[in-house]
Order: sequence, then structure tokens, then C-alpha cells
Amino acid sequence: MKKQSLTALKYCLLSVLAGCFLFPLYCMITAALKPGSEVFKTPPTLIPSQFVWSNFSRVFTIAPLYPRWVLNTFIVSAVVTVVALYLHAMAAYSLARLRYPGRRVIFYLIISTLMIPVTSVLIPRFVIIRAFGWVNTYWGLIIPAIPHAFGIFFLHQFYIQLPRELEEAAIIDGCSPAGVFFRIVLPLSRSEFAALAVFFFLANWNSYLWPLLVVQTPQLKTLQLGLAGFVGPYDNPWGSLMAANTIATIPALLLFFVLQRQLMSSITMTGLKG
Amino acid sequence: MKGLIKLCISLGILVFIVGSAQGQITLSFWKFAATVDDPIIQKYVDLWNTSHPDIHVDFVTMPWGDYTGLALPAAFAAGQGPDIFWLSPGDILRYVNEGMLLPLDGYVTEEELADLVPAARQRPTVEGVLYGLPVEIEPVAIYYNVDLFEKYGIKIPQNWDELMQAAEKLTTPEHYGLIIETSPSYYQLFTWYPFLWSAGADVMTSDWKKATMDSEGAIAALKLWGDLIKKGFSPSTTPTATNDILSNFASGLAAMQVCGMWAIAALTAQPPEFRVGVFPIPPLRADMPRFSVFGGWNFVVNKQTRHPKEAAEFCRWFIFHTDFLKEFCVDRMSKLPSRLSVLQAGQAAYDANPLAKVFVEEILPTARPEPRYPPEVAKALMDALTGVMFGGLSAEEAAKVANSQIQAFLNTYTGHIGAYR
Amino acid sequence: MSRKFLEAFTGYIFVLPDLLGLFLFLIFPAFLGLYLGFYEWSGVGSMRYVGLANFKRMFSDPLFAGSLLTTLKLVAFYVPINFIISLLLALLVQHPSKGVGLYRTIYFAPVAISAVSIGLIWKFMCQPKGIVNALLMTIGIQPQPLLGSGSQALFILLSTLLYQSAGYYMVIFIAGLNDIPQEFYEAALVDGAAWFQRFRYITLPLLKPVSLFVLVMSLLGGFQVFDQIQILTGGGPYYATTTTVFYAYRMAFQFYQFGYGSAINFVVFLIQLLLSFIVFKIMNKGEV
Repeated sequence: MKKQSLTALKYCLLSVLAGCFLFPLYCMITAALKPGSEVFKTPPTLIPSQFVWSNFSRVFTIAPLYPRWVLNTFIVSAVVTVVALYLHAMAAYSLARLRYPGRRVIFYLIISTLMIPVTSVLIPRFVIIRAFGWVNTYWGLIIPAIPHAFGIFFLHQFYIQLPRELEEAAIIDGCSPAGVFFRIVLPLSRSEFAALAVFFFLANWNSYLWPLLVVQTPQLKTLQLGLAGFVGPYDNPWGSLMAANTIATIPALLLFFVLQRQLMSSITMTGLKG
Repeated sequence: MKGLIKLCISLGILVFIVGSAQGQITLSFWKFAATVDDPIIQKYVDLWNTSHPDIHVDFVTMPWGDYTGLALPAAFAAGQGPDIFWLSPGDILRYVNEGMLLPLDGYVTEEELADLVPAARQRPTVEGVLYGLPVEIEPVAIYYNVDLFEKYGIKIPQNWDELMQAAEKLTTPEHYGLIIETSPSYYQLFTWYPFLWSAGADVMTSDWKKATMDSEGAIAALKLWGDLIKKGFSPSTTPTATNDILSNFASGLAAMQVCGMWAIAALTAQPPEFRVGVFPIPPLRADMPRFSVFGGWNFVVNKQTRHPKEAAEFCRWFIFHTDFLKEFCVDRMSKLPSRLSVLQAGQAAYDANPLAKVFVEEILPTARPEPRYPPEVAKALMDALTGVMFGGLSAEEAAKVANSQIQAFLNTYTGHIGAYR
Repeated sequence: MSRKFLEAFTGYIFVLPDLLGLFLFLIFPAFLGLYLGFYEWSGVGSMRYVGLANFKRMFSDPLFAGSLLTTLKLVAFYVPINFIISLLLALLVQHPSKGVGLYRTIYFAPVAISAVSIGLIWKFMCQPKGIVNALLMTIGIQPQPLLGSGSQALFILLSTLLYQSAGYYMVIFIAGLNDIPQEFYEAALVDGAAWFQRFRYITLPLLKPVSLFVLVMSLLGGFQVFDQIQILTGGGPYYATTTTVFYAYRMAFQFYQFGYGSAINFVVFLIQLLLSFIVFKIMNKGEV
């Protein structure tokens, strides 16, 4: 009896919270569907009086390159995610488990890069990219996005609490340090990888400031960058803006929905030795 | 192995072909994105490209918010600034001070110069040298809801007292009285200058030696905007920047809005549910002269371009030898062209539009070009204005602080004088 | 070759690509940025050497001091509240049960949306005649200035940040919670421990590494907030929501004083360094 009411309470809380989380999104979508004059009517209407789909179609007529932008963003996000996952895992394992002089210093050095305000490195980084000839190329979008202390820090915190017995067993069997990593530790990292994959992908999907500098032709634009071009100094119809944002969000949400089932199932399957 | 050699040879041939096609010159033309304007510009860029096959121009647009702040500085820092781009008057001075713009005097004929509206010609002219070609003239005025004015029995305000009274009467639970720009930005200052000027004051003397913000007029102008916010006649935030008329005034947020001529096109494309009129910004007292301000973008050429002649020729062609200005300004009825001949030819069209008619007949004659103060001065002004509106400063305090900040800056300023002669 | 050598060699090789990348694209540009702090540059043309002038200016700039205060206020609320909310959400949705996957997705949804879009939605809702005021009126509260009032704007900014990041840290906590071996809980149950005892003596201690991560990342995240401020308030009204990072951005990209902006960014960097060092020390007390 008590368990039931506790569960009921729990679901109540979950639902209230869910409502709070969904409400702003609901506002965005209805704003995109309302006729222009109704968007800011007082008092605001919760349900649009009519459904204006033209805001959405207008996005596509003004942006014929939209599918290309989605493709560009997907390529960049996918490549960065895959490469970064492996590199960060290697670096994190090295810092968490392998012993060598300077290890602590390197760790703190890497963490300290998280404290560098992004806006302060944008222009110098652009100058460097240009020296490599990577302006307006996929390289320029992908390579600088890979190194990031976040993933290293995250995985480090997991690797330091791995029970050593597993590794020691492998070492006794004659495994090299690299072997231990690839054969023992990596398979155990699935749930963390899933979480990171989602984060990396989304961060790159929504990235704006860096592509703004790198991209100099419309064909290479990424999604956020392309949609930012909707907003000019003289024309800013709110409905189109909300529609454009909704459209930018949908691929990201769909992707998350697909990935999260993977993420959640592998997370709930984890737990060393069960 | 054989396949590899074949591949290399074909690649080599490809590179050769592509390379030799590069006998043509490519120029980059950057501008901020504006969804309604850009297709027109693209049309003429395409026209140029077909008629000038050996000089190809790439038209690229950058997101509005980050065009001058991020995209341009980054490109210039890396030595990759565009060949041709658009600048607003305030930025022109900054670039000229650094010697980054190509003087265009030698590339334009006397006739063509004479065809420019004199006030527009001043905009890209610094100390007598022409650094750009003006595109448009966009004066600022106050749009109003004719239906609401009639409902409350309000006449067009002729001085600030009447303006405040109108704003007060028109502030109801359904709508505000007057919308002004509350976000600190160059646009905010742009729309505030006419109020400063029509109070008989100015930011500094025309030789840029002395700050003049510590005056009755300046204090009154600061106080006006401050009171509008503090008394609740103006909304303290707006959904979008107030150069957008549709999301603000046209949505019924307020009975009046300070905005520019560009709003006419927007109002025509998406007419609101009420009748719209426009009136010039009233002066402090009815016996004082009225002022408006006009802005407008300008073609400029990067001094470091490798093809100055071609770049200058492109700008000149665009402004003087196409119908661009007619299509961009007159046909869309939302800007005034920078050329007298186009303006005169479009007279009938402007007359036919009641809003545009007011702009041409009543507002344009009183409009001064947008000032070109350096960012330090702009910051002092923005801080003063927002300080009075939101920071609890009195207009007197704010004016005093701004004055001393501006004076301190002027004492050490060694750049070009951006005042209009 | 000896075991030790192999281990060290592998260690260096493993960390090399990321380290190299970080140097090239973060550390080196950051030094260039610091270098710029000793100059004056308007975004175009040449740079003028001014020595320590930019740094000295900070100490007499009331707006800089104000921005530090605003940042500390924001962070002081954001870090603990974010920690509690995301941990709470994680605890609620940790165990598989009917429909819990849907709730997880909903809580995580704001993370999938760009900060710019979230900012726009909240800005839209908080307009004077917008939804939030309409809701307040239904429960008898007068319409509030919201984004037009300094303190309310800061509160709204805080809410927007929490809204966007709660799901993010929730996922991190879920991963951490699931790594705690079940046997510990089972043993505790056998011993008759109540849920809050289990939480205090098993969950919290074993969550320490993850908690450290969450605390440090949210601290740094709070310092570096940018998109939401730009969209919601532009730093206003009158600097009320201008954090130091945002102030540096305005000075550089709005007022074209890149040298001053760089100097400020460097000082912010040092402050973050100091604060995270303190957090590390506190959390790792008694550990090697």
C-alpha cells in the first residue's frame, strides 16, 4: 500500500516536472504556427486560432540549401564524435591509470583549457586555421572541434574508479598496457561512450560561432549558421524565426531520441560484474 | 601501379585545366544577411558576372548580428578581408583610421558624384576624401496607430510635452504608448540622436574637440527616454530589436514606435489590423527646429585588395550604371536612393504611398546623416541612456558622466575627424 | 623493454593527439589572446602596444567590478541548484520502470536544442505581455517587468540555464549512479538501513568522482555563459546580467576594444583556475 502511494507520488512529480520542461517547447511550436498578429496578442492564446503552416514552408523556400546544411552538419558532427571518443578515451585512460612523469601536470593543464573563454580564442584560432589553408573546408570545421577537455575529464573520473583486479588479471596474462586498454577497459566504457556520443554530437550539431568564421560560401554552411541568416536587420518576423528554430531542433531531437534508447539501455546494463 | 599512374596523370590534367581557368579574377563581396534585400542584390551580381566574364564576384552574406563584430575582424586579422563589402557610417571612420579603405575619388566621375544626394555623399566622405559609395537613405520617424489616435482623440504631437501626454493616454492594459529601443546598441543611439538634436543639443562640437553633453538639451533628451520607461509608457523589453516593426508595433504592442523608412516595405507585405500613419519626431518645444537622422549602408573597397581597379569599378557600376537603386529603393518603397536622378524619377511612386510621401516631404529635409562617433563615445552615450532608463541614474548625473568620459576620450583622440562638413 | 618503460611510453602516446590538438587550437590561441591583452586593437588594422594599461584599467572600471559581482551571484546559485535538481532527476529516473524512458527524453530535450533557441523561447515567454505575465495574472500577481528589471532578469537567466542543463547533468549522474554496485545496496538492506541512510553512506560517497565533475563543469559553465545572455538581455538592463565573460565580449566585439577584452578574459581565466582548484582540493580531501 505504502509502495503504491510512493510510486504514485513519484509519477506525479515526474509528470509535473515533465510539464514544466515541455511548456517552453510548446510555446515555441505554437508561436511558429500562429498568424503574425496573434503571436503577441494580449492576453496570449494557448492554442493558435488558426494553424499557419506557411512559416514552415517559407523556411524551405528561402533556404533551398537546407538539406545540404543538414548534410554538412551531420558529416561534421559524426566524424568529430567518433574520432573524439577514441582519442579522449585513450587520453583519459592514460591520465587515470598509466604512470609516467608529468602525468599530474598534464592532467591539470588539460582541465585548465576548460577555463578559457571561447570568445577569446575565436580570432586567434581562425588565424591559425588560415595558415593551414583550412578556411572554408570541412577540415577547418572538423579538426579544431575534436580536442576538448570535457570528454577527457568525464572519462577520467570513470576510469579512476575502475576496480584494478580486471586490469591486473590481464597484465598477469601478459597483456601490454595498450592491450589492457583496448581489450578490457574500452568494452567496459560503453555507457559512458553512449552519453558522450550524445553530448558531442549535439554540441557540434548546434555549433554556431566557429562555423561562422570558417564557412565563407553558402554551400558549406552548417545548420545553425544557415538559419541565422534568416534574421536580417530589417526583417525579423517572429513566426518565421520560431519556425526556423523548430526546424533546426527537430533533427537534433530525432537524433537524440534514436540515440537515447541506445544510451539508456546500455547505461542500465552497466554495473561492473552486475 | 599502372592504375595509380593513370590516376595521377588525370589528376594532373584536371589541376591544369582548373588552374588555367583561373585567368579570371575573383572578387569577394560581403554583406550582412537580409532575406528580403539579398535576392535583389544577387540578381545584379549575377548580371555583372555574365557581362564581365573575366571578373567574377562572389556574393556572400554573414549573419547580421556577427557581421561587423566577428566575421569582419576575424577575416581582416587573418589578412583575408573581403575585397568589397558594406559598412555603416560609424564603422567607416574606424576602418579609415586604420587605413583599411581604398579612396574612391579617382574611380568615379564628376558627373556621378554630382548625382549623389549631398547628405548621402557626406556619409562615406572623411575629411574630404570619398571612401565609399552610399546605397540608400533611411530616415527615422514615429509610426502610429491611426485608429487608436482617433479613438482617444489624440492629435499629432508637436512637442515633447504633447508626445508624453499622448504616450500616457495611449498606455492601457492592452498596449503601451510608444516603443523605443531599450537594448544598448548602435541602433539605439541611431534612433535617439534626433531627440538629442531636436532638444537643441549635440554630443560634441563639430571640430571634435569639446564634449557638449552637459547641456540642458542633452539632459532633457535623456530624461525623455528615461521617463518613458520609468512611467511605463514604453515596454522595458521588446520581443525583437525595434528596427523590426512587425513583431512590435504591428502586433499591437504599442500605439507608436520609433522606426525607419524600411518599415514601410514590411508593413506593406504584412499589413496590421489597423491603419498606420507616420509623423516626424517632434522637437522639445514647438518653436525649435525638427530633426531626424538617416542611416544607410555604403559600398567600400578593402585597401589591401589585389584588384583595386576592378573592385572600385564593380561598386561604381552597381550604383551608377544599373537599375539596382531603383529596384532596391523605389520599387520596394522602403528606402530612398542615394542618387538624385533616381530619387527624382521615383517622385511619383513615393507620392503615391502616403507613408513614403511623409518621409520624402516632411522628414527627409530635416534629416542629418548618422554620426560617426568612435566606439568609446558610443559606449559613453549608451551607458548614459540605459543608466537613466534602467540604472537609477538621474538624467543630470548621466549627462555629466557621459560628458567627462567623452571629453577624456577627445583629449587623447588622434584619428580622423568624423564630423560631416 | 621493461614494463615500466612500456607503460610510460604508452601513456605518452595515448595522450599525445589530444594534447597536441589542445595546444594548437586552445592553448596557443589563448596565449595569442593574452598577448593581445598588452595591445590595443580595434578589429582592423594595426595593434598598438600599451603595456599593462588594459590590466590597470580593470581595477578602476566599476563596470568590471560589477560584472564580477554579477558572475559570482549567478554561479553561487547555479552550481548548487543545478547539482540538486539534476541529481534528483537522476534518482527519479534511474531505475527502469514503465514510461521512464519518455520522462528521460523530456528532461533531456532542452539539451538537444541550441542555447540560442532556448534563449529565444524564454525571451518570448518573458515579454511584458507574454505568457509568464499572463500566468502570473491568473494567480493574482501584477504583471512584472521580468526582463526589464535587473534582479528579475538575473533570476530568469538562472532559470534558463537550469532548464537547459538539468537534463545534461542528469544523464551524467545516471551513468554515475549505475556504476555503483548493487551488492552494496543489498547488503545495506539486509542490515536494515533506511533509504536516506543508504543515500548518505553509499550513494553520495561513491558518487564523489562524478560529483566533482558536475561541480567543476557547472562552475565553469556558469562563468562562461554567453548565448543565453546575448539573446535574453544583451547584458542588460544596464549591465544587470553582464557577467565578466560577457563584458569582455561586449568590449571586444561591440566596442572594438579587443585588447581590453583579452585582458579581461585572462583575468576570468585566472579566477576560474583558482575556484576550480579550491573545489578539487575540497572534494579530494583525504584522497591521494
